[in-house]
Amino acid sequence: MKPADQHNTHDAILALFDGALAPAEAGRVRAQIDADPVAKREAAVWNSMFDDLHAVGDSIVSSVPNIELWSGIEGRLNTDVDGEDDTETWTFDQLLDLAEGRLEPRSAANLRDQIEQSDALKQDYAWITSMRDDLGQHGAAIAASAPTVDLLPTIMQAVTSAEDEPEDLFASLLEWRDGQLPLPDSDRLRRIADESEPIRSANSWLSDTAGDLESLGDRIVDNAPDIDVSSAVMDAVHRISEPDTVVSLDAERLRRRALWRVAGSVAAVAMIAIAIGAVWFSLNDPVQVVVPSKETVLADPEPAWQQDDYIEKRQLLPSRPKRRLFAQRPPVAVNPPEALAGTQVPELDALSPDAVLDARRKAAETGDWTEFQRLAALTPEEAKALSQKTDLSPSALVGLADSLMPDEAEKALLTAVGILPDSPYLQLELLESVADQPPGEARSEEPLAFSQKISELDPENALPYYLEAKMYLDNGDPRSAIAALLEAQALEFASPYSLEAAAHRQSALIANGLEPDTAELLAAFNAGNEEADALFDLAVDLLNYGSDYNNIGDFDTAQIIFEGVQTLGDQIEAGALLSQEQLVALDIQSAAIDVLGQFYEAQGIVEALGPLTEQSLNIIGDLDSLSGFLVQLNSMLGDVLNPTFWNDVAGVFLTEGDLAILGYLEDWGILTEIP
Amino acid sequence: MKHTDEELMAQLCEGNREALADLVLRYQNDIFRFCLHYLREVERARDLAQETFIRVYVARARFDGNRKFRPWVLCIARNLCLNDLKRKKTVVMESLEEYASTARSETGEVFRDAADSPDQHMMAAERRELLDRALATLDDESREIVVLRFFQRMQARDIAEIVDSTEGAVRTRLHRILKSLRGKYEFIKDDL
Repeated sequence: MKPADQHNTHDAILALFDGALAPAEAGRVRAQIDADPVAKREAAVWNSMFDDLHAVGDSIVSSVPNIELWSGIEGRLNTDVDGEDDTETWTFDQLLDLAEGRLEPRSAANLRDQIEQSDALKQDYAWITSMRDDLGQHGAAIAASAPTVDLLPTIMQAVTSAEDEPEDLFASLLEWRDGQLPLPDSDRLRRIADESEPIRSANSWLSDTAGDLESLGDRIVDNAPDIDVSSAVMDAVHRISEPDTVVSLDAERLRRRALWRVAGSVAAVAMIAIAIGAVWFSLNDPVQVVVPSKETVLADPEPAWQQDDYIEKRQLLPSRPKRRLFAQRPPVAVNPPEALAGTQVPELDALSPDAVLDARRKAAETGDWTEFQRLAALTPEEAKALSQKTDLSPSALVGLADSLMPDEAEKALLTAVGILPDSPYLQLELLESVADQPPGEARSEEPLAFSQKISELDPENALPYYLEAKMYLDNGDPRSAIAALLEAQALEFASPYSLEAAAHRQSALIANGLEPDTAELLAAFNAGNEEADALFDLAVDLLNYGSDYNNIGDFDTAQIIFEGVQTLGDQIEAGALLSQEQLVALDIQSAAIDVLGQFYEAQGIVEALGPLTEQSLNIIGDLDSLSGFLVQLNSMLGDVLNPTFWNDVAGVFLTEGDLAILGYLEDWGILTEIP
Repeated sequence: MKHTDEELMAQLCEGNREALADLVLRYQNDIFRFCLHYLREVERARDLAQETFIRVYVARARFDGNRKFRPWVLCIARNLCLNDLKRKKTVVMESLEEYASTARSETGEVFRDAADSPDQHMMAAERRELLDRALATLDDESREIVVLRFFQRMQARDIAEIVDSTEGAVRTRLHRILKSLRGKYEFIKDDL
């Protein structure tokens, strides 16, 4: 409670106990007291004091003998004042007023004249003045017999005792000392100090101490020289035309490809670059993370990691075993939900499975994935028209939401979540839709509700916490972001539920008129693309926030964010069922490790550099494994296999993920046919 | 015409580096002394004052034009100082009084309370010694509040902006620190 509020509250409490407040005001003050523990304590003290005062008053009154005056007065009035002269208008009250000087001068003079002329009146007036004097003396005797009560010091002692003193008493006293308190508060504090020995003593100590502390501070700086760093600062700034140490994540990918080439996996690299990497390159503008370091700002950058390090050490590492934490998750139905049976399928311009395979081969050859992706996506118009159908299945509704405008998408998702309340994917989609809103506009409660629901449905998925962290950072709340990141890091994996998303998109394509087999192929071959892009964007956003905090010297926050992004990559890899997820996981880890390497070096955290080196080498091993897998996978596309085979493959993609396909191919006896 | 700090920051964001030079000239000694209170080492304080302004340049896009420049730059300086102290934890921190005495002897200046009699001076010296011993028992966060409130003579609302807290919380903490300090002070005094 601020001093001004506090003093107002003192007044309000006293007025309340005095009964001086109007009912409405009294109610408001009572509510205010109830809501404020300090005011409540004070009110209790005052209440107790008032009770004591009333008790003292009662005891005084009860100790005084009763007297009975009225019968005598009434008798005299009846027989004397009124009885002698009926025409006389003077009353007992008027005589008393005269005795006590309350009559107007003219009336008083008039009455005195009459008293002079009337013996009866003279007698009455003498009696009244005599009685008044007697009563006055009696009252004085009562008052004199009462003990002296000086409650203010007691009250102040109670209010400012060790347990009950205001929580900012010293701060208020300091402000009083510095002349920072408003005048009414200052006057009131002075009065309180005058009445309260504890406060006087505290104030005296504080005055000495504050003076000593200030002079101590003055002595430290008074002896320091003046400095002039302007030239040094401006020289440094001129050297920083742009932040020097910039890691381009595109460059990161290019470096990765270069490493593969050195490893002799030329074919693999080419296929991966075409098959997967090119998708991102074509979709994403170059992304740069400003890597912060002391050296950066001092314009003396030295890359923490040399490419040669990767090349030299990569041969030493075994491939890290893949964890498959999603194994327990029930497979998503590949076939369209039953609800779709009633969906009216419009006439098609017949995109066949063969056409899809041809389009994919062509895209892989040319590296232009635009057309292939377009086939798998609804236009906004198609999506909007579909969303207005009354017989649309919930799955199709979810699948088309990606193609709707944000507000329409959110509406569609909310409708779907009413039908499928236990889908963590739907909750995640809703969380993302809210998280994508511009900073400051995000609704504070909804994301947390979605996030909490995901945690209930899928307790080990860390992804919602990373989205929460980004939202907090968007809103300038690093503390909450850190808390969310720390929670995320304690979990097992991070999944964007790419398989569920692909199944829903398949439903939407079917609802839009595609044959189920065609839709299955398109959904399978594009599975995970959008989710990987979103994960990558999330990681870049977080790294940029880390960079910002580093730049303003908040290294703790920066470190937690950088390390959080690295863990995010690790967790995505742990939950990956699709090569797209695994690839983006490795990209994210790689970028985070680069940033962290420079950060640790700048901060002199040398003990962290060793493990970081090991992790980076693990990533290279994982990339080797993945590249080998993708080479095999893409080689299959070159073979002329019938669409039925590819639909079987697509079925595996959509239920188990493409990373599981080699095992299936082996089971089917096909793998040996692939060169 | 003299520009406000915030106007200079706006100019800096638009690419006018001379605006930074103005800000450096305006605040360099303020920041230097602020750092000195934390670090108590002239050279390090100078280095960090310099780095503070480089950070201002690097992070200029993050400056919120609706906020005041001074608390923002002090916040950067504070972050740098705290991190510097954390990295150099092995350095034994001398007491405030010791530091002040050292600085005094280095410059040959003899501190003396103005207009004090010898008795008063002796009493004041004894009081400061007690205070310094009590201060030495405070934790780092409490010492920081003391430094900001008394050495920097900052009000609670300004401190709150720098330590990322609220004015009410700072007032409460200040009260508790002073109350605790007084208790320790009295204890040490009785113990002597």
